[in-house]
Amino acid sequence: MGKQRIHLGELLFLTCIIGSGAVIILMMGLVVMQLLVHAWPAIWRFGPAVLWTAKWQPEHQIFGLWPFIFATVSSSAIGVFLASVIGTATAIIISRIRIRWLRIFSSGLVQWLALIPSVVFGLWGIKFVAPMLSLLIGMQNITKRSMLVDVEGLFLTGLTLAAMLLPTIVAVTRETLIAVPQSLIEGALALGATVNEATIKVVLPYARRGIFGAVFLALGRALGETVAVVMVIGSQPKLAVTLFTKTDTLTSLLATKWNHMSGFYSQSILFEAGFLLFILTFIFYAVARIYVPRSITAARLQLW
Amino acid sequence: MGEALAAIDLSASFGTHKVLHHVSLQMPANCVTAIIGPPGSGKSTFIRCLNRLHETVPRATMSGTVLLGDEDVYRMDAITARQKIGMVFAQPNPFPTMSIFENVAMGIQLRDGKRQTYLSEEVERALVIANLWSEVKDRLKESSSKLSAGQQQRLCIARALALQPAVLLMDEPASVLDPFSTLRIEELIDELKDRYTIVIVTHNLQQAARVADRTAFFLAGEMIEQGTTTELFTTPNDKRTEDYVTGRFG
Ligand SMILES: Nc1ncnc2c1ncn2[C@@H]1O[C@H](COP(=O)(O)OP(=O)(O)OP(=O)(O)O)[C@@H](O)[C@H]1O
Ligand SMILES: [Mg+2]
Repeated sequence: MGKQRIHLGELLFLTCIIGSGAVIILMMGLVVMQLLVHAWPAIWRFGPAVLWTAKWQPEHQIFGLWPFIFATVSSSAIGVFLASVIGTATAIIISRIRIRWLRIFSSGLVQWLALIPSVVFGLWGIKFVAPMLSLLIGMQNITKRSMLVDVEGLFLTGLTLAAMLLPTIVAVTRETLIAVPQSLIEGALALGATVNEATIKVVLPYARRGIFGAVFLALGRALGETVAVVMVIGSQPKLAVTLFTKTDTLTSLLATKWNHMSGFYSQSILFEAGFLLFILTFIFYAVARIYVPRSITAARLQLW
Repeated sequence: MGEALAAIDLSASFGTHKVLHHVSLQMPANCVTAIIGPPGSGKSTFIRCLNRLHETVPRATMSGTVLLGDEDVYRMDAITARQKIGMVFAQPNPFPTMSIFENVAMGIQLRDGKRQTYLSEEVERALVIANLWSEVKDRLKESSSKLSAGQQQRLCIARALALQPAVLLMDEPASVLDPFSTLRIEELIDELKDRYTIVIVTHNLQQAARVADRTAFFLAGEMIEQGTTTELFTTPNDKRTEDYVTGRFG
């Protein structure tokens, strides 16, 4: 009797696991299918040319996605670059704090900051950074009528993304840095290295995979970020010729146009933009997966 | 050549926890001095004060004097002190991201700058002295983590010797090694003492008896007794030393 029950429980458990696993995979498959089915008319009609066409004139049935691909990749690159450089430096400093309560406090602070919703960073970007940038640039063009110039565009978006990604990069990098065995650091010190030399020659090389992974995960997040980007990108469907041209990313295009565009192909092209985003994030996730130590990927993906 | 090392009235703490109480010990030049004692008796803390590694631990403090020859180790720059007083740890800790060559070259490069014409010569010399050259001469570019534990430990010895230190401190250098590798390390210590002053911490009394000229017994942060190894093992003055070396203790 007892044997029977265990058997039944196991069976139930197994069914649940396999069932929920199957449901998840099925759902993901359906999402991708849906994307593809809806995107298919546009893909079929306009072909690969949308990838390099820079014109976006829905009223004339001209749909070039290049401005949005370009804005997505370049604003993410700016944001991730700034966040990685500053973030790694910050993580090194935090991991080196010797005062116990300050160390615990600062690492907690960083992890908490990583949870702040991106919309807050968008608000910060448009209400705080934008006026300052505008003033800075305006002062250089003093001959112009107005001191205040528009600054929405790739640069402001990059800055906003950087601020948003910074805590996460610091948190992940700090974790990989403190995982470096103390015995290696002491080995370097015993050879006459300063703490800085030990950091550069031993700690960073040892942690490089983790840092690399953090950067790629951040990149994936930057590519997909929507709300904060919508607030600072300027929302103009045209190619950004300068860092301060109002433009649109794939995400901000989707978020702001889905409701305003009618017509069969207009709808379809938006699905194609979504599908492109799907592929872009997949590529970067795959790279991250190869580089990040497994445990960290798992932990972080839950957080994100 | 080795130089004599002397600790005078050395005390050390971690925060408010005093772990070393007024220890004085002479470690003569070109001698092997063994430090024995039960776990937690402050042996590691003591030798980490000698090369000023103790002070890198958060909240760790120390007082007293350490003399290398007639120079005060705590009056010189900590970096210089560590270059003159090399250290080998219990767990072999070669830098895994560096090649065998880079591991040995690291100390010289930190001291003299990146590119030196004598670099490969010095690396070879250190590896030869550490009895590792014949095993690695064809694979100097390989990662150091590919070596066996015993080879890794000899690599760490070579890495310390590359700086031509006067003193070599070893904190239980064979505690994680197999008997064969342990034997090789002990033979190496025997060869090295012509050129270096050696201080070795060990749990293994037979090992102390085999390699050391002099031995000091530590207990609860105090240096209880010191003398030639034969004296200390056969005719100890202190009851506690006798208990420990005869195995009646801890
Ligand atoms: N980093 C540290 N922080 C705080 N206390 C420490 C630290 N390292 C050692 N201690 C304490 O100092 C005392 C002496 O430790 P030490 O490592 O010097 O002993 P040991 O004789 O080398 O022991 P073992 O034989 O186990 O290596 C112990 O009570 C230990 O708990
Ligand atoms: Mg110890």
